[in-house]
Amino acid sequence: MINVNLPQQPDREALLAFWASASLLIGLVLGVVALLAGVTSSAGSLLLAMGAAGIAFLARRSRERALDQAYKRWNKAAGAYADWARRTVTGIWYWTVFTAVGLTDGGGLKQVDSPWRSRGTLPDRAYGDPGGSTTGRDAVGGIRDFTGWAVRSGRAWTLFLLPMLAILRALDTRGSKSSAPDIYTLY
Amino acid sequence: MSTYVLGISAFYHDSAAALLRDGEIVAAAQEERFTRKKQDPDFPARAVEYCLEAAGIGPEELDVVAFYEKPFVKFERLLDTFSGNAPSGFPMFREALPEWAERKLDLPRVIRTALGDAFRGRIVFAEHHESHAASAFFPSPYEEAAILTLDAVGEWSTSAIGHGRGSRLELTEEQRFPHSLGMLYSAFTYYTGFKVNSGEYKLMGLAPYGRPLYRDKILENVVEIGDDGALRLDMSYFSYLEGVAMTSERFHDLFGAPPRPPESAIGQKEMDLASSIQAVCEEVVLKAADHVQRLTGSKRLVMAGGVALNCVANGRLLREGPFDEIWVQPAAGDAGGALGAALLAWHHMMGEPREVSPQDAQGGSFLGPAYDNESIGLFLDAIGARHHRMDDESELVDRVAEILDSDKVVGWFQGRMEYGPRSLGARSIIGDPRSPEMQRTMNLKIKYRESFRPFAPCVLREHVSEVFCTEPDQDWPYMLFVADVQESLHRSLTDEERSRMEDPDLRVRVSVPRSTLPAITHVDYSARVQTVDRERHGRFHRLMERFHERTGCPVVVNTSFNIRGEPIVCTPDDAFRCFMATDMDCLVLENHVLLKEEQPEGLIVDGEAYRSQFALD
Repeated sequence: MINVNLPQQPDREALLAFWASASLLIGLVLGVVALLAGVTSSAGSLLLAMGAAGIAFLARRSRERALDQAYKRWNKAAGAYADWARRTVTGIWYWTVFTAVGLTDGGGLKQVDSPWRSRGTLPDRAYGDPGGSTTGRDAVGGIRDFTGWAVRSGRAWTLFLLPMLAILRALDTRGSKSSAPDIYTLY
Repeated sequence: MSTYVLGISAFYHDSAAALLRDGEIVAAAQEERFTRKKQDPDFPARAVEYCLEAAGIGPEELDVVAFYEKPFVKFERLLDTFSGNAPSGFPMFREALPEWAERKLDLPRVIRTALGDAFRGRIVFAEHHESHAASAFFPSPYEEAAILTLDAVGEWSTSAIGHGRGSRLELTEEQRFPHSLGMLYSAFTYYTGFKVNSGEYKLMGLAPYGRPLYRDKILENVVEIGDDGALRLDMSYFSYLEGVAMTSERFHDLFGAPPRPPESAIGQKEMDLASSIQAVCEEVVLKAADHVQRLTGSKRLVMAGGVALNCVANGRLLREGPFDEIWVQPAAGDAGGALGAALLAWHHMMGEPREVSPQDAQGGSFLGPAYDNESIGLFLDAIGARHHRMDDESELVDRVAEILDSDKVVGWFQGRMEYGPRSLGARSIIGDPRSPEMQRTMNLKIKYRESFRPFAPCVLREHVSEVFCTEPDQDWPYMLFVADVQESLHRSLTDEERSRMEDPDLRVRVSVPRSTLPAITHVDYSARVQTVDRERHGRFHRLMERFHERTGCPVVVNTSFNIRGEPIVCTPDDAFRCFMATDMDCLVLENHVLLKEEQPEGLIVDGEAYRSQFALD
């Protein structure tokens, strides 16, 4: 998975990698523009692209401050994109999957009754599982745990969440706060 | 060969790690102390590192890592809550889901990545309230006890009751989300303008200023309490399920106004609300305790969960409740879940026996890192600080007692750091409780905080009942119970002082000296007591003994070594910076004594810049 957000405090190698990628991108864009404008042939565009990329990359070496600024601006843009993408992805899933489940569910938590209710203590063989299962198997992580839990808990519909979870993971959560400031951290 | 079990709590508030070696607690610490981020929720990498270092092992020697809750069960609650509220509730959903995608649904990977390839042990998952229960029962000094855990919410449980005997505990009943005493108290914390999850103890401290005028209104509208302590919230008064705020418009209409804006003036209404919700909380705790006593027949109780930090309720429970003895886990909040998870893995999963320690197995809760005199000396020399090394302890405690007796404030940094939210004499700021100015000085010049809260006293255990209304030789080493100051120490108030007690400005009220120990006496003559004994407290006990010999006073003011919004100091560097950024007069780092007036000007830390690092709590 490629994380959208780059490290906030990059080391020299990260900056170098960033500029190499950016140089290649600049070169490719210039090459495509030149080809579309009919300025050169495809071979000429390729040469132009490689030349532009090489110049852009080598030019970095004498403009450290510009590189640093470019990196920060790119990261800010990437962060803004990630925020927008997270909102969009979670919104789509929330207003489709969760609303559909909610409409068929009938009321949710507000109607939970509240006396003391009986419960037991976790059986010794249930410690390996991150859910409520007593299979005695240890968690291995990843999709296998999730799908096993979804089926065992009778929540197979949550498998529809997997694409959303995968996208969110790729968008990276570093720097995003995990709870609203005025609410107890419930989740 | 020893067996090592590491317990971890993380990702909500107050991440922590705790390590057992053959069932014995070797080390435990909260992540915030290392990262300097208050209530740091991130994976406690540095706390884990410390625990392993303390045991002299690497990750390859860990047999089991126990996480303090079942993440998938918590995810079930998330799903049920959001599907029940959809389409409203999206803001909270949007904030919460990325964390689940990245980490919380894949904890084995997160833990193995953090510990590295060398770790080959098992990763197991305890249940949240069982972790709390284990943290309360297993370290307690009781062979057998009733168990009561109360917090905001774990996976589904908001409170649980059970019974512990020997090396096993059984939870038998629970209450479920959204009906939660912790959430109820947090809702009033929010409404009265304090920060949720850190301001609850401020609400508790505000309560004595008011009267429970709203108690009936709360019980008639907001919450119903059964005779067995079961509570039912009318959710139309709360909006935490939708994730907008804690309280709804209906709640605001009921109490006649929107929530108090943070940092604005506290009025009589907030004081009365604080008093009212405190009364309701105590009623729930008493009834729940009665219920668990009837079910178990036990005369001893152990408690944990965030609500167990309400020491006013604990004090009332001990005085009026059905139990002869009560032990509360010092790290009663989520940080203690790390210890509980490790203990559950050891005793339940691995079936290992338990050895009951008559003085409890928590070791005074001094489970964090300590620093030796040599490294402290090198550090101080490197930065150019002026310090006096006093290796003769008698001379050291003499000198510090003399400083305390001159109305000066001392930063006291000794031994292993505390585990839990309270400073207990290892990372403490201490002062003379007899001084009428000490409370104001400490509040304004050192803690930079609201001045309505008194400070807590440490008292020599052998003198506790002379000063406070307790049993003789009461053992309260963790500052988890409130008791009244003895009437013989009360002061008669003049008419002028009585009228100052009605002043709308709480700083005026709190400045009225109500006893011979004004710095630690609340407006209702109560105090949050910590007893100090020879076995647990060593040098701190000897210091207090010297102060007592010198002044006749067996009490010192003890407040946490930090400023408002800052985690309690961990390292000598943290302590030195806090010392130099505030008006503390003296700093004692093990055998090194530093006086403020001797320090070079260049080492002074700008107070405002220092404070700006930490968000107000």
